[in-house]
Amino acid sequence: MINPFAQQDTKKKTGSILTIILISVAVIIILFPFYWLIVTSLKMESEIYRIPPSVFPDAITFENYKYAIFQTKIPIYFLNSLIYAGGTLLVVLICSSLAAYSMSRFKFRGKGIYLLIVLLTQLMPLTTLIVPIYILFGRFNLINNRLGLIAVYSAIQIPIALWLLLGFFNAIPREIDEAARIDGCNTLQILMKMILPLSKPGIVAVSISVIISIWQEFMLAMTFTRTDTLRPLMAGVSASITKAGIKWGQINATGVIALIPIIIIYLFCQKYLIQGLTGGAVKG
Amino acid sequence: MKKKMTPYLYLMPSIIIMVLMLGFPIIYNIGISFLNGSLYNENKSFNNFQNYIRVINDPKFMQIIITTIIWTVLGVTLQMILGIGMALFVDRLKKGKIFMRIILLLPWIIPGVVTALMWKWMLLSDIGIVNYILNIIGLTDNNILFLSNPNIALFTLVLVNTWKAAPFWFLMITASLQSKPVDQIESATLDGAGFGQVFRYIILPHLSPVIASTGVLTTIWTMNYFDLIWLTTKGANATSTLSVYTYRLAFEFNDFGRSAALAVISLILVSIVCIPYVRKMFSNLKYEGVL
Repeated sequence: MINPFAQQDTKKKTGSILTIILISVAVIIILFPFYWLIVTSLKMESEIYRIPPSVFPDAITFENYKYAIFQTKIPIYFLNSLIYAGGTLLVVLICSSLAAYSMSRFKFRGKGIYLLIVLLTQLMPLTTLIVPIYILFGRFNLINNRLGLIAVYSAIQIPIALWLLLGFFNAIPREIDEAARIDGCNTLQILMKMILPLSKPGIVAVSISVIISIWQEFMLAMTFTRTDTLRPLMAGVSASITKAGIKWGQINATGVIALIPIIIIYLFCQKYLIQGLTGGAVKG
Repeated sequence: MKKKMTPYLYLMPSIIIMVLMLGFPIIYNIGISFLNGSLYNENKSFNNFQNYIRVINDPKFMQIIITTIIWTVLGVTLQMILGIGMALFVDRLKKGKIFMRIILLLPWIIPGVVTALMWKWMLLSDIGIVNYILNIIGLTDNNILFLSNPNIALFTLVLVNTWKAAPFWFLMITASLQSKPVDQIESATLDGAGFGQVFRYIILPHLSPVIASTGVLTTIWTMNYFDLIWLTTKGANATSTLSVYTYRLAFEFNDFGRSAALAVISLILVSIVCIPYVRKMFSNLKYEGVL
């Protein structure tokens, strides 16, 4: 370790050189996989499989992207992912804001048990759910059905969203409720007119969290979708990296396409994204 | 009467969805774990814990438990050491803190599918870039079979998962370092304390609550993590953890009873790990006046 409190100049110098080396190593280890993903997606098929590999591409080509967009089902998968994310978001926002309001503003019996269950569901392994849901969905014709997948996704996301929103709702002073009540608002109006507008950052954080989680999810998606018309992007990508004879150029291009929305959200809404992904554990 | 019902009415929509999609399936799962028969067998009956006996007597069971323990304990330890190290390091930088934060968090925000894709490609034994780099530096002569050698595959995946998950530790520790006791650190430094002593007696005690809760959270997440292992090895080459094997039992071997039994066993294990975390969350809520 470097001693930050070293008095002598020589020590300081070796310290700053060590700092530079450590930072460079960390940055390279973290960024290189991204670089390699992008570079591979821009190489010609022949160059990709060359030994030794070329760290800088000889020629840049967009063939892999053209193929992924025009010859495969990637655009449909992409659209499906958006539909699943949007549908889930709608259900989650309604359910979790109502529930978080109830949790934050009322005293009632069973509150502790409800919160305990909410907490536990966040920690539960998804693999415990997959068998029973598969059997039940089989009975009710919900396999390979958009509503089925959206329903499971919503159930998984509601606890996280509720937990996040609860933090935001609790931060709003009760005096505001009181003032609205005196003005003649009922409890639902207080939620709609006061609490929700005041917790806009919370709603944004929840929305980003839901969209990103659904965007990333693939285990349930690959299990519950059967046809290309219903498959979301991650299930589509995962199917093509687990089978034999992978076309690495195209699959790397697909990986870049799958990353684009995430990176955009990350760069522009970093604070909300982090709040969402940590389930409110970090108040960014 | 109406007033008393109000809070429950607000909870109704979420309760209905959670009961239908989480509560009922879990109870159903416990039910299936006691019944014989596969998915399509109509006359299911109680089978004297046969599913559990078969799961535990399965010669692979011990191997899967050991794999799960290595995957989780080694993984979380590495994530913690690297995450805390990076956080302390970046915290002391004079310039470029925000830049470093943006870069260090990248692996953690990307989808598991993309992580698996990137690393599977880089770790290919013949044309993968990692073997090429190791050869150039002179660390190895032969190509390492990162994902297909059963002695190495699990450790490879632990390292890849560390790459992906250490940023979460970095994030949590960085957040906690924002409120570190600056005055104490300054006066200790003036009194001649080195960084080691400052860390040991001031920073570490300050961080310990965050380390504890992050520890529980990442332990559970790592234990349950399915994506990376499934997409790289499908649990072959001695990399099957509890969650991967539960999935394989159901959807590769079509043995839903055994899969359900294994799921119940992992649920119990996870619950044991969660208890301290849930306790802490509840005491926080009491403190905030919610409960």
